Amino acid sequence: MAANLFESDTLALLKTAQDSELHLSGLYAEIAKNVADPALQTLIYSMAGDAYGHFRILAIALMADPQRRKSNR
Amino acid sequence: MGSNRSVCSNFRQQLEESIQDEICDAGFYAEIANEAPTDVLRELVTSIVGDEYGHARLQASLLGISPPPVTVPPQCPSATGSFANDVRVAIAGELSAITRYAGLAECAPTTEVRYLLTSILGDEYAHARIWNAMLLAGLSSSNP
Repeated sequence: MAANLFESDTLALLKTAQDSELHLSGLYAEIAKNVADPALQTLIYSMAGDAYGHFRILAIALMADPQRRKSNR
Repeated sequence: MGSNRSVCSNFRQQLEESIQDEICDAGFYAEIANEAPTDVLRELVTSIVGDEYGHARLQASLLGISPPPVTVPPQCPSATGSFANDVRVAIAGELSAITRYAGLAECAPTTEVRYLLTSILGDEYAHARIWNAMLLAGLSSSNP
């Protein structure tokens, strides 16, 4: 049996972090939509892309953990 | 996942509205493609049209109603004849879509559905960047 990558507390924190990154991605896009200056708008929505990137990294980390994979079946 | 939040109680309806938005976007972008000043820009916009229709099909599949309705729903934006202005509207639409998909993904009933929805979010972000590059290309060609 493969060893778990994370303690259960850490796994819960990672899950919370992933939820937060997803929420932030949507939040930055919402903020950017109301920014009139094109350069500033681009800067802010690039943060939405960054948050989405973090979400994906956390998804990989979570899916790599045997506990998590098992819970997704 | 997501079921304990009151905002997630109408997930199915939100998904149906999202399909309508995607179909609206596809129609709007098809009109923008006709305004594109160069063939390259037209091809780029047309590829985004295909992506948006693909998003509608994917979500329709999730709801079991694929393919999505072909009729254009009311209250869709129309192109104005100004490529630059319409691209700005398109960017705002993509940003709204990112927010919408983040919310939908938060409400997704399973991890698999969540990741499908976030993959669409990633597409919309890429579209925003492409539209922005189109604007910059237009500005640089008009200001040598």
